[in-house]
Amino acid sequence: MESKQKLEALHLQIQDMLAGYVDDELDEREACLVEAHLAGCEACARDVVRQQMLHEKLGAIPHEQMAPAQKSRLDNVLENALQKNGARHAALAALRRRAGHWFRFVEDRWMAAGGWSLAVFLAVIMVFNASWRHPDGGIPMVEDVVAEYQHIAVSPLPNAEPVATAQPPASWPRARVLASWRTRISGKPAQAYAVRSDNKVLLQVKVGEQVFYNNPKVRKAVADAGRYEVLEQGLKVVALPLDHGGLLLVGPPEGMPDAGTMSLKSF
Amino acid sequence: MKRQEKFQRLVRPWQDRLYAVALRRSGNSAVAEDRVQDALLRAWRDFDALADEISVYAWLLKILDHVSADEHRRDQRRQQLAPVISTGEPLLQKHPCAAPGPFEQTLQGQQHEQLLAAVESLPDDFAMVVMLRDIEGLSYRDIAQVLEIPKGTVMSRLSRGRRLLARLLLKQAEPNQMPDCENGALT
Ligand SMILES: [Zn+2]
Repeated sequence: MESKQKLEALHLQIQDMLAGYVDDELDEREACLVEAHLAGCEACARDVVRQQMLHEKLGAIPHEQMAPAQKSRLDNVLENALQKNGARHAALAALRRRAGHWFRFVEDRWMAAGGWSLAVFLAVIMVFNASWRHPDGGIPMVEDVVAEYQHIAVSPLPNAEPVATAQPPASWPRARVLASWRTRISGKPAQAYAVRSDNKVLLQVKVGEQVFYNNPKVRKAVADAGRYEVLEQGLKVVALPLDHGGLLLVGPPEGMPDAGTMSLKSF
Repeated sequence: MKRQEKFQRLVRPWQDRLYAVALRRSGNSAVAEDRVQDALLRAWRDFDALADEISVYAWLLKILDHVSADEHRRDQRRQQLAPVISTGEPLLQKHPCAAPGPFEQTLQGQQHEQLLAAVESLPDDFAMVVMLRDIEGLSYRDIAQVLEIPKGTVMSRLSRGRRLLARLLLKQAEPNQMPDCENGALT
């Protein structure tokens, strides 16, 4: 009676090994055990044969191929990615070495906000700017907002305010607020907004009058042309007057919104 | 340039096979195309993470599985019961087509589409191992890597999955439409 129970237990245990026997994935000892059982158990022996047949039959099913149009679409997508990422990959590797564990963080954060191309874009900006030193005679608020832009490129976006209620001073079609937070520019409190525009991220910083009109160059340009613009290490900074204070818009030059499509909010 | 060339040489040859898998899983050629594009872009992004312990195709299938596994399917997968049937189960014992000869004829009578549909109708855990082993020809080691389960689990799921598949096909086969079955098994 006891041996019959043992046999039944073995019969059940071996059923989970039959596939391994069929596929020759058992070690020698296991294979012997299974073989000995199969000699005395027709149910399992038949199962092995059915498994072999199924394996052969399923293996003979032809694999569907992509249609030519699908193939060429895939070719395009990959060719694009491979070319772009070739150059970007080198920049990313350099950044990884520089920024160490920070990078993962940035990548995850920005991947979520704007996708891979955005993360890479920010990374490239960082690499280009990594050796930047404040030039003598620079405008402090400009240096500060450029530094702020670089900071958001390597750290999680601050998000002190619910994005839905954040109202950046400038808006234009296709602009989407990603985050808003308090910061300090030229030692004074200021409100910052990260805005996504197409595949670029722009930074808007609202500063007070004292900070905005502090520099004579800015005062003159605003009086003459209504705005002050400067290119700082690959980033464009545009200073626009608001009712109380001013707006500093920072981002890649090609990502700047058209003056015509942009509307400024008065505060 | 080296990385690109390596990618082209190692990964691109598998794109059609990936598409075939994606098409079988989704049943929709546009969805399959999207998933293959996504999977290959991710593969390119993570290309440096491709390790020696896994074959390129298995690695790609793993990425494809991640691309395809939206929350919905993961939930379904969790909820699905995976029944275990014994080799001694009555249908497998008594069905006139269960014996080796008649079973082979039953299989011959099946269209490829019917077989694939039967595999897809298995509980997902079983469908995946049967698909990866029998249709895609992966080793147990690779399947274990793709599904992130132990090799022993691959073996037991495959044993149970194939048994379930055999029973399903036998259930579908009406003995009266397959006179050959009668001769084979009731002796
Ligand atoms: Zn047995």
